[in-house]
Amino acid sequence: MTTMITQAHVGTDLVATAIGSLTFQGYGEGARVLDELFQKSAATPTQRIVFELGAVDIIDSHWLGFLIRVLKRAEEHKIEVVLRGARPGVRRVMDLVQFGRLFTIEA
Amino acid sequence: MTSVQTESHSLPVIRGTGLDSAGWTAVVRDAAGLGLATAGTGAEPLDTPAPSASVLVLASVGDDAVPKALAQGYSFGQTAGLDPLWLQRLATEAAAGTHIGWCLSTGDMVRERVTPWLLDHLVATGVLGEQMRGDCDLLLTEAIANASLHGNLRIAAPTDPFDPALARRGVGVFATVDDNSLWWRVWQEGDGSPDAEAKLEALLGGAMPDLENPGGRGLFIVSRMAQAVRFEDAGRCLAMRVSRV
Repeated sequence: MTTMITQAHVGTDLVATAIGSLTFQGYGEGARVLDELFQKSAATPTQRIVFELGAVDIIDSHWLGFLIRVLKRAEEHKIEVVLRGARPGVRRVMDLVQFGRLFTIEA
Repeated sequence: MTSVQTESHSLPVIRGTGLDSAGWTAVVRDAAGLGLATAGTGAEPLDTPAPSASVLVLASVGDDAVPKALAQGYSFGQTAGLDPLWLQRLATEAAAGTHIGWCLSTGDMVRERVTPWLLDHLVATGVLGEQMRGDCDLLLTEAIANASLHGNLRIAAPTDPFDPALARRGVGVFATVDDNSLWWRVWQEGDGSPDAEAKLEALLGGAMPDLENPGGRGLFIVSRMAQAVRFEDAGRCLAMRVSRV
């Protein structure tokens, strides 16, 4: 399985760095990450959750749904969610599903 | 871009690689029940091109068996424990000259990403342009997820519990190539879904998924990225056409 997400605070940003393929075969990692993100954001002041996507080669609809779940929980805690550094193929999918209307997207 | 010749064959022969005696005996029995011929011992080395219209039964996807089977031109599957219909389907597709035919259990499909093997082969052999690899990867991933999770396992999300017996249902991936385009067909063993067919029709008519709903984007992505898409066989097969270049 090639999905790996690590998390660390950088100031008030909680940065989640994803590596590899975000596809349904590795979706179990998402359930773990979802809980950990909000445990960490509760323990340390967090203004933004930043997903670093520069090392992601594919994202499928299940992981797009995962990002929506993160967004909804983040909104409850008044935390902004940022999608950063997506490669062209991943960015194209994010644009296709109009994620720019929901998330802050950074190059 | 490599020119691809599509031939029609007859009398597909079933061969095996890496199978033990019991495994091969089961294949021979299933093949006989389907009226298909077998050849070899079930332990064929994969160092020579497939004889015309041959189907190869793999013991496992390890030891480079998949790249070798692709390189030698076999339609192949790890069919042990699967319904014999998959052996029949592989044979039918091989006889029709389908460029790639592969089936695996749903349990394997939800554990292993199989698309890189297929796409590496198609790009390396000049059948598919490198620039189409990403689109095909996502289309196939969505179609395989649809077939595996919603069709065969009858679950909505990958982390939902499922009946382990359903993990023995098969998923088949087939590629048919012509001069300019490539048709992917992804088969499930489930009952199909009238809802999915109606949803696809709506998406092709311009419908958009609910922006804030975590689900419901798979078919939308397929409907927008494929040149053409349709369900076949009462929803058991999702067919998607892409440009080769």
